[in-house]
Amino acid sequence: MPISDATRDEARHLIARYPVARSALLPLLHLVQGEEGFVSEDGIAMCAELLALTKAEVGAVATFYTMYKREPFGDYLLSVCTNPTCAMLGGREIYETYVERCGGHIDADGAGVMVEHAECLGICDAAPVVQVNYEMYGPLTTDEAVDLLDRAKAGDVPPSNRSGEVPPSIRQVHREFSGIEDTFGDHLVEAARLQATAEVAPSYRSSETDIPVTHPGGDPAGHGGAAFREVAALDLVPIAASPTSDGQADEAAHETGVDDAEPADQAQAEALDEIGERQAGSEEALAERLKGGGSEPVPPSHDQPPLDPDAGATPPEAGDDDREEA
Amino acid sequence: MATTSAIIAMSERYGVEGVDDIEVYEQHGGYEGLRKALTMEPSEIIDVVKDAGVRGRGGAGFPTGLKWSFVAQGTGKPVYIVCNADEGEPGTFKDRPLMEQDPHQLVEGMIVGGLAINAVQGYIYLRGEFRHAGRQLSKAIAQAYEKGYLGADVMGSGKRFDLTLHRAAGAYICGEETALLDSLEGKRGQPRLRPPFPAAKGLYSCPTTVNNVESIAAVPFILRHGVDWWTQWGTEKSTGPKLIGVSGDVANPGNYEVPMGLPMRELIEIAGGMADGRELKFFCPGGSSTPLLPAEAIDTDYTYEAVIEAGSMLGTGAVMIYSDQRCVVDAILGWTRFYEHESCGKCTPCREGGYWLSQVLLRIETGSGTMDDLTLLQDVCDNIFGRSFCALGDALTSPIVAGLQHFREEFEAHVIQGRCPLGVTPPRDDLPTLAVRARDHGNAQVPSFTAEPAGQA
Repeated sequence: MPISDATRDEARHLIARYPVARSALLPLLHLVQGEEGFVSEDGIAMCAELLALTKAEVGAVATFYTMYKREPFGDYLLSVCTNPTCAMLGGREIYETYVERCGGHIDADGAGVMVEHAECLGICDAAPVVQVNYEMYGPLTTDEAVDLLDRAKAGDVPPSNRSGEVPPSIRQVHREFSGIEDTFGDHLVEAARLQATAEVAPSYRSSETDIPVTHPGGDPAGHGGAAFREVAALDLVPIAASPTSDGQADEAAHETGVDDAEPADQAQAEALDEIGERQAGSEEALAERLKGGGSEPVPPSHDQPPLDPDAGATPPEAGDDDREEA
Repeated sequence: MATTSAIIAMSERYGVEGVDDIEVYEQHGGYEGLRKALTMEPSEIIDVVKDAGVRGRGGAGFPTGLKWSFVAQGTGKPVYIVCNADEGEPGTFKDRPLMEQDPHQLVEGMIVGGLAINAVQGYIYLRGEFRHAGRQLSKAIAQAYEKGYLGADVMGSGKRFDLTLHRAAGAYICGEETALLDSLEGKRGQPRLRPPFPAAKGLYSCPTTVNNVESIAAVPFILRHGVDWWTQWGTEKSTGPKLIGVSGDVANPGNYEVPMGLPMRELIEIAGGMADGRELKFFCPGGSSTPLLPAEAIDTDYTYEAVIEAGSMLGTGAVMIYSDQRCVVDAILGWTRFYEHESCGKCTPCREGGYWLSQVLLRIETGSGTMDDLTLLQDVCDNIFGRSFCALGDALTSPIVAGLQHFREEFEAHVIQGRCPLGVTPPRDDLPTLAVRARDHGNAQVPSFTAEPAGQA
């Protein structure tokens, strides 16, 4: 179904809460699921249009996160934790019973349910756990779990024994997840506007490249496509033609992760990485190592070759696609 | 719930009727830490956190004060503080209870943290599945705005600080801080190349700090009660109280607060001892990413340094206890499938390695593995560890390598007996898709490996 005008207005409000428009994509997808019951093609098209992204870019995000469902299923989502602690205490049996009783993962009977296995739901003291529309239930015997499934199909879910809440339909839950019902949204719109007009504004970060924000307060022209074309493309082509790192690096989308770091900063950062990940030493020792780290460059800790500063921004000369992958 | 915690520190307001309301919260010492912070210079707040020796509670244990001191200042860019509330490490349940029961504690911590690093805006990146926590935080933030504790003029100080509740959409990898930032920017949550580090270029290429819920929530307590209050617990290198979750084969699995430095055997006792009088077989001290340890290691002290010495890590404070009736291969298979599912797909070792490791483990668990498979597991792990883009690949190998180290005999028993010695049936729809190879048992003596203590492998 086409997305309603009211929802589009709400989407615009969500976008305005962020200094960089695309940040609203996850909330927008929740909003779409709130209206459609799943992430529909129309919903993806709306997100793409309002954020000036391609539908492929939006789809790439929507398929990455497990909470966005790509097909309609009804009113209730039952997520069974099958991580080891829940699995060994009965979660595996619950999941298999559910799939058997539903004849698969979606059962359109009654209110309509989808059954999925979930990774650790972070409530292992109540193992085994089932979530109904993201309300927790546990610990459950298989019989209790089956009763929960039957009541979901009947559209009559009991209150969670953890929060005491009766889960509303999946549409209402995702609408809530979008943040549109948070009552402090107007403060966030003002904050986003101020940040976007800071001395050095936040940047839309694409791969290892920064694209300056040009439209304060989250603008519908977006930063994924149009802004790149209009601003970056014009500025960048000459730079790219003579690939030298010059003073413009900070302003233009020429900034790579490596070439802008002061050597000392970089060494500090490397040391930070190394220390942080290896959890070694006392705070004093860490500070010593960080101070001493400035003299010798630490090789990057990953296999990837360091970025060539001169190759920081690939010129969009191919012209066939000036989107962020350029 | 926390009924028999060893200490009551950060959980002091758990269970207080109506403490999710700002008025009740303030009657119980709430926002005193913020009032104190407003009388201090940012550097003074950071010094207090450093003096207390707070180490990040999200897993890595990096000193929080030091992390804040790295945040670049004077760049002209807005500075951001981001709370990593994407709690998803298997076995972990300490941040969600905090946000559900005492949401203002996190809101206050965010404002104080914001003051410490001159941030203009905070984001709480909340795991999407935590609906109740989201509802509680939304209400708390709204109340803080109404009271003027958030917004254009924080408590009349003339400083502006705003706080956004950003609900995620289901991806464990977004607990990795750079993946979290990409996700917060509306992208697939995949880790970034570092440097630049978030302290220099994080959210929107602006200076950013990313901290765990518990780390942030600790700071108002320390400002209110003083550094000495915090350091009365723990050791020199591991200070303070710690929120933990004890789960698995214990009588009273739950969320508890303990002082750092307690022997881990006492963690089991706090949780009511082993369930049904079973014997401890193995345990994970801090979530599935921390190498599992055999029962003999249970007398290790619960500190960052002692647990590292014992061959594991403190991780997220998720203590998972497994009894002698549990098959170690089955548990490891479960975690491996978790990492396989949660790999973001950016780098090959993790994306492909997770798939193949779980296939080989499944083959062993279902009784069609060979002795060569044990070598193969180790070899694949060796080729993932240290070669993946972020720590998820390393975490993927932890349970397997530790399992082979401590429970090799049990792996071998699966191969020799051609079935799971403990009779665990793998999920019905999870049959191995790898071609089954002929087993070569030779004349190996079939051991009677069973759950009974008398059994010998």
